[in-house]
Amino acid sequence: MNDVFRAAWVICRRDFVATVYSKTFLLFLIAPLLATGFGYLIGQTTGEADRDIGRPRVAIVAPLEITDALESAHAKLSEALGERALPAIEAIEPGDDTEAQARALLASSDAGVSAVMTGTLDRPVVYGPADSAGDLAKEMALVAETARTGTALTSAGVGPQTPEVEIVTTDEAGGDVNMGRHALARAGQLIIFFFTIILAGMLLSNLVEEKSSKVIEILAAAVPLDAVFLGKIMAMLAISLMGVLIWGTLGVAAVYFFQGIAGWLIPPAVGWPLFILLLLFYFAANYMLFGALFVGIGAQANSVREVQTLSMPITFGQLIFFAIASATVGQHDPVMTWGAALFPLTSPLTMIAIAAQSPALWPHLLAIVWQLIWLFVIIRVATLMFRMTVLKSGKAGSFLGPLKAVFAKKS
Amino acid sequence: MRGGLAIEARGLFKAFDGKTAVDSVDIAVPEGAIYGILGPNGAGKTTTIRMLLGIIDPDRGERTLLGHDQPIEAAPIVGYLPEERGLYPSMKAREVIAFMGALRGLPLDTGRKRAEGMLRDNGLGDYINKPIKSLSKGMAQTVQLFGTIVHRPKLIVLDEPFSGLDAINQGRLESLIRAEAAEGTTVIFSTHVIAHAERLCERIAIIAGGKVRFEGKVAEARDRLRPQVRLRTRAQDGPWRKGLPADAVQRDGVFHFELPLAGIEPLLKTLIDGGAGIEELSIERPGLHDAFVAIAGDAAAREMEQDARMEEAA
Repeated sequence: MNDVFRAAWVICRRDFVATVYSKTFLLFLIAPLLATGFGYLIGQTTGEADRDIGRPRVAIVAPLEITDALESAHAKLSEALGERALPAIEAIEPGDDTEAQARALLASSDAGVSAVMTGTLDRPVVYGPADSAGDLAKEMALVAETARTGTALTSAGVGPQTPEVEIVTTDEAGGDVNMGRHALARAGQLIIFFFTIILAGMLLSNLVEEKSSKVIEILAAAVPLDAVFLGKIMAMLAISLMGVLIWGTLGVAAVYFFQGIAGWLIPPAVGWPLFILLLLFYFAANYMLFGALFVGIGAQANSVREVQTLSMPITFGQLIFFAIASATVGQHDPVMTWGAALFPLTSPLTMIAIAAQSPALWPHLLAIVWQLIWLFVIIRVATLMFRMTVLKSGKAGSFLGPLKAVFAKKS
Repeated sequence: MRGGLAIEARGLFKAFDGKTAVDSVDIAVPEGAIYGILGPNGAGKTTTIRMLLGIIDPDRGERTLLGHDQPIEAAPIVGYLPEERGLYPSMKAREVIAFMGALRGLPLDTGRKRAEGMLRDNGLGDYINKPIKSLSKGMAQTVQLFGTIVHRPKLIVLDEPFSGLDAINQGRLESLIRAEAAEGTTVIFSTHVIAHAERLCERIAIIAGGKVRFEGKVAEARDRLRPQVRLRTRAQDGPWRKGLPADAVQRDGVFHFELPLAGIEPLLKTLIDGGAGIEELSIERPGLHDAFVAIAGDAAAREMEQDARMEEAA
């Protein structure tokens, strides 16, 4: 084995073992669970409270037979269209002067209504501010119309009748496949982004710790610096793949146990096996590209505080690159998609989305080669920065030095 | 390897942020020698060592390490103990030693076996599986030293190895250095304590202000000064006093002066004939400390003494 790789392997093995047996790794493993659980908990606790936030409420000031009919029609429409499609309604017993009552309700912040409806089903009147009354009037007109039809049919002794729709099932619907693949593309991007951002942070703190403990001096004296970088990045990659493997296994088990989900999943355009392989590769590439950048930054920093300051632009950059790659999902603009696929820092995220949406394989072969080239470039630049700043070395060494070393015959 | 030299450096120059750290350093370390680099803190010892090992590159000059122009190529046969000790706190003692060996190409299993042996032989058998953070500072330093030599290197480079060790461990380290040298290993170490270099080294480099002021055998450094004569006489005055060299000074009734170039015999005759009544006469070869003062100057010597005192206090 080449000396650089042998040394990188030694460093990778130590870092891997040290991390896997640490409490940090346990946290890393349960991080997705915590994030999901936390999100679910927040969703549950705030969901109820937020349900009606942002949804206008209309007070109906009318006799009981009208409010009953409107409530019944509102319930029927909400069932078909969804609760948030219509404003919430509240029946209020009418007083002597309904107009004055409506104005008083609108003036009161305690009542909390956006509009007030009075009148009859044939001639409803909606009170409300100019900017919202128009839309609310249209929605309430629909409710009133449904109520009036129901009332008329009931009066005629027919009763409301909803026609029964016959359902003929097909294997797929093009629109659903597209939607499913878009969702899969975004899920793939999210997985890569999420794990990269966690691991790059871990890598950074690991390097800073190493610098502060002076172990780096021993490493730099014993092995080429490229091997130190490569070893560290490889270790973090192995750790992340282990995490992905554990979570992947749990995910497959969940799909197996909850058969319903399996039927719901739309297969990616390149097929599941290749998609998973590509997901692993693009994750590795994305992580190593950003990991190398972070290591380069970690090399400049002497404390965790400095690291935080220096890494902030890259973290923002990651978010921007993620947003750009997300925007390519479902895009029909080839310039934007291929531009993002070519730019090294958005390439992995864009390509996994392409794998979900398009069956063509050649773009992935090109992307793999392209990303490997950029990996070499970024790792090399990070190493040079390390040599020049941390070890206070006058000469940075040859840019292609490691490549020559890799292909050099062992003496 | 050229001319049996383990290390050869010529004209090494290094500046940091425009400030010269090391200037025109020439060093030649023969194979199998114990070689000391002496100088006060900040003299450029560590920078020189780091350049020799290829941790940093010189701005100018050339160096060869065990026959390799690129020091990293010799890494598998070199052991290095840096001045600032660094170990992974959570790693077990045996694993640290094996890991350091593995970095230099020693298989992990072999490293583990050797580590166990080294720890047991040195009374640290109970700490084989203990993490570094649970060891005392001295023990941790010992573990790091074992990690430095576990792969049985041909060249051992120790930067301030005695620093932080108590007298017993300093003695053990001296024995270990002698034992390694006896087996043909070249040992080079830096120190600001002259006594260590005087006891151990055959050759030394004296560095002060980033420059090598002397490079050669210890004996040659000492020979730069004439032997010192101490003379006590019964008579306080007399014609014999005219026979004393001009540089003779009297302190507490004792005359001190350099041995005259003509030797001691003519002086003895003058003293006897003049009735000085010799009570005590000794000729002392100058120590390395005296040589250091003469070569590097009083200021550098005082700095060295101060460094040593501060370290002792710490």
